[in-house]
Amino acid sequence: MTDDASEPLEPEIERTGRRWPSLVWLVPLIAVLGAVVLLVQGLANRGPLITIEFAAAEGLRVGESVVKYRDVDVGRVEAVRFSDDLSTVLVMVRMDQAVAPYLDGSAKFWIVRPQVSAQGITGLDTVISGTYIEGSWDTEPGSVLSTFVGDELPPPTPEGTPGIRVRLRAVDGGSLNVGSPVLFKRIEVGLIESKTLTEDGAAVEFSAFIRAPNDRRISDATRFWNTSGVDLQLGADGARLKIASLSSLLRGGVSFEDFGPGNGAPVEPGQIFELFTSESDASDNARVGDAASYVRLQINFSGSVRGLRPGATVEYGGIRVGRVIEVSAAVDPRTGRFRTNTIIGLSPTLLSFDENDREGLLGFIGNEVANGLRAKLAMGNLLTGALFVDLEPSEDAPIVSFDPTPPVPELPAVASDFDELAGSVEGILTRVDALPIEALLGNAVNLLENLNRLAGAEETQKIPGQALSVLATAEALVADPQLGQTAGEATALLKALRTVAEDPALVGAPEKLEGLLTSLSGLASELERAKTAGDLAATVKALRVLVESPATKRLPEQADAALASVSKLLEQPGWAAIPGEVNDTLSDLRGVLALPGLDKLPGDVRQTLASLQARLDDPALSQAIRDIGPLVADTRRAVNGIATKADPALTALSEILNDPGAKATPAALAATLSSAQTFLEKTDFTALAGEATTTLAALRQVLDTPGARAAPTELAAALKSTQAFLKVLEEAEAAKNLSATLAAVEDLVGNPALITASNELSQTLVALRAVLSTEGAQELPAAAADALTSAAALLAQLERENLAGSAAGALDGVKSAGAAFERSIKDLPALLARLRALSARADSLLASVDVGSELNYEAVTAIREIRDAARAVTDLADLIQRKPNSIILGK
Amino acid sequence: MTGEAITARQTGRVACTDCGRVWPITQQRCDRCGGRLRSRPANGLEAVWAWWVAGVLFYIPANVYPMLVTQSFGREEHSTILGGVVELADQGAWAVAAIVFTASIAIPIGKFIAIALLAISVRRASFLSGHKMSHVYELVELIGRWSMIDIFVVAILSALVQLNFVASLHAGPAAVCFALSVAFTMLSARAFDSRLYWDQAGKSPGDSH
Repeated sequence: MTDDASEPLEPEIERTGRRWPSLVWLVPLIAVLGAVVLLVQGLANRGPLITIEFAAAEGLRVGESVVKYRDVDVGRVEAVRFSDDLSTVLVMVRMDQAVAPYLDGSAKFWIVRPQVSAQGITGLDTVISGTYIEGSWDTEPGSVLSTFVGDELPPPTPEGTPGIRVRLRAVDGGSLNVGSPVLFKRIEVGLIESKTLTEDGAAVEFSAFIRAPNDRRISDATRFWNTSGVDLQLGADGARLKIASLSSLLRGGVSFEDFGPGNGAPVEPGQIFELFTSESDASDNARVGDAASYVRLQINFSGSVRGLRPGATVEYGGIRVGRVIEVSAAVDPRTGRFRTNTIIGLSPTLLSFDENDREGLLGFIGNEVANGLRAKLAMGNLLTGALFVDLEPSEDAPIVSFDPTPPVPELPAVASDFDELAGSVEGILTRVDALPIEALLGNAVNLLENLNRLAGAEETQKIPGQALSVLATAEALVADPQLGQTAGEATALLKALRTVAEDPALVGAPEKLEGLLTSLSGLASELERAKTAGDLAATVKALRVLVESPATKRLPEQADAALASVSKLLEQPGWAAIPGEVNDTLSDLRGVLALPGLDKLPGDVRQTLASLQARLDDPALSQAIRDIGPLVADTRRAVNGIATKADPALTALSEILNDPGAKATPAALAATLSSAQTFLEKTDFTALAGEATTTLAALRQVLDTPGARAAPTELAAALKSTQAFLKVLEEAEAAKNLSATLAAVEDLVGNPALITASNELSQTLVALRAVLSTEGAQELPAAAADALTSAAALLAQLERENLAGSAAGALDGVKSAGAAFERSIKDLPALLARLRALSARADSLLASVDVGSELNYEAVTAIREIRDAARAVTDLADLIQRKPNSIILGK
Repeated sequence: MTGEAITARQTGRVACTDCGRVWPITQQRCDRCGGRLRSRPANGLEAVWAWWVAGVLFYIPANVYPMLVTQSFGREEHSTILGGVVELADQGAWAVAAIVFTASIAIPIGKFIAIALLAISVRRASFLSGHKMSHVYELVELIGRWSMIDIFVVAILSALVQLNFVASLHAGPAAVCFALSVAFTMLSARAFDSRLYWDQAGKSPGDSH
């Protein structure tokens, strides 16, 4: 102020400053402008504020929680508050302008939260991102609303999904739930959207949505049924168990199919379908038609109707024509007696009548009844005892009139077959039960054992052969006209024999014989111990094989031919002379016996027998006999080979016998015999007797010599050698060689040279006769006798062995069969018991399958528990979602 | 001397604001450094007020909008300055809450008030004495930069805490606004020519200081 120089400067500066506001002012100006622009823009883009009503806010956060549409944020929660009466929560949401026009009546809002259900886990993202509101609306703008009521659960089908929505009616809710799938050929094509009771509460109605393009499969011929997972059917046609996928086991499901023959007409949305309980019901309904069209008939079965249940089939000629509708009991007003009352429904369509043609069907039934048609209970399933009604003509049915006028006409019935059947089976079983089978079998076994023992005894085995030979002899004897004469001679001979027998020397003979027999018996027991049984059995088996061989089968024929030849031979006139010759021989023999030299014979015989007994007592003999067993076995094998060859041999033999040369043989034999007679006449029998005595004495001496004593041992050794030889033979395929030999023999026999030989044989016999006329022939009988005895003994032995073996083997077979039979009989009661147990179990199983049974209850409980578990998981998920850090920090 | 403060202007001199050389008041340009010489700013307090207004304007969204956006397990959390302070206090972190409150709320607001007070005092004699104004001005200068502590915290945190899904921090829109607000305030303080309050002090001889 005091400085003048400063004065002019100051106004200058201030002047310029006042003129122009500073450029710095642009900064706040831009800030304000920006803020204003933002504000205007924000206000302009701000969508409508809508209010959604929820029961609970479920973790919604003001300013954070969003509203999503197709997973795009379209709004944000601006406020959450209560309604006036605190009954609901009002969520204010600022929506985007873009979706504002679509918020009409179709808009639905729900709070997305994590859910664990049978369909899967949904909303898991909300665990970490927080809950949000999901919106859904159609794509048509409508009159905009500002207040909405939120849904508790998301709508199963998003708005605007192409498809068809139909209604299904069922008797009860079953295992179906909202969200259960609708399946077509087990492919999920839709879902159950809601489950409500009908107005009157009589049924449950489901809303099912079938998505395009499968919605076109729905027609008025479509049948829906409940696929509740497990479908166990036990009916007259057996047991069937169907288990659907695990998913449908948990959440149930509805299947549909078009069972009709053709395509049905398309349906409008909202069409009501019946929901059948099973596929078979649905297909039955499709085939049989609506139950309402059934023509009802009443049947009074006389017996028990246990096992007949409503729903059982009615068959006519094996074809299903209807079903049992009701099984009840009533008291007959006419008789005052109890009776069962079965009402069946016949399907007109199945009997090819028009669906509503009741009169036609009844007329047909009346006609058939007049022809004997009757209703009958039949057993459908033995296991379950399920019955069905069978309509079939009964031929001997009494004539009954059929009255079609009552609302439920009565169909005459006849007693079912299975009643009688069951009765008789029961009776049989009772009787079988009452049989003392155990005791009977014991006795039978004992009896068989005894028989076996008896048949195995030597004595028994001897019988047939002996009897046979005796009979043959007797027959031959009886057939002889000169028997009478022979008898006289025989009487005389016997007298002579008696004279001999009365000789005191013979008195001691019985005792000796007894001793001999004792020895024999010991020998027999030795034999028994020799364990020949095994070999015997094998022999029998071989024999059986032999017998079954075709060669053996032809044997009888051959034998027959041979016998015929023999018989022809016997018819030769030369034979007639034989008895006469025999006669003469016998009288000569008598003469011989009458000779005094014979007196000494019995004593010698006795001594011989004693020696023989001593020989028999020799253990070496026992050993020898023991060795016979294996020998026989070996022989049997050899015989096997022979048998096949025996057949052609027999043929050849028969040819030989047919040969004229053979026919000449009897004549030669007769001549021989007469020579013999001559010989006997000529022979000095006195001397012969003396000689015989001497011979016997010598024999005795011989038998008493140590050499004779050693003979059995040697015999045994010889037998062993033979056995070894046979084994060698067997090993050397001797059988084959033998067969070849036999073939050669056969050839030989078939050779015409043999016929010549046969002729020569007859000549030889003539010559023999000449020889017999000589004195040297006197030694012949003894040698022949020895040979024959040996042969007889061998044959007897062989026969015994074979017979015994076969019998024993056969009886062994019988015995084992008996034992097996016995065992099986023993098992039978156990088997029956098991069957009974099985049936009882099946029964209990069936009983448990019933609705309301324990199994059912258990299943329901299990499912409830699964649901509870799911709820628990949901709760946990909710908790996590609300307080994620609770995992770490605790609740 | 104790009563009156004599300004350079009163003695017909002008000091170069760049190098401090004193020239006669008629000198237009500093011969030493070439800077333009002005005894008093041409616009007076205009720049101060302009920056001040801008700072205050930006301070509003800095408090309304979230300063820090915390993402943890997919959840976003927006915290404003004051909200953060309240939250910290709720959790018992009083000391931290006090620091944040001081740095982010008390100091900026104090600065607004202080600058406004200075600007008014320059025009109106009755408010503050030149000495007091000098103290206030120094305080504002000294403390003003500490307002940025909040921004530094946000910047460091958002650089460090980037654990993707588990946790991540971002600076919210408020951070920018706040930073601008602080910057504008500092510019406002800077635009204030401290020589002005001595002019005012000189105009009020009645003042005992």
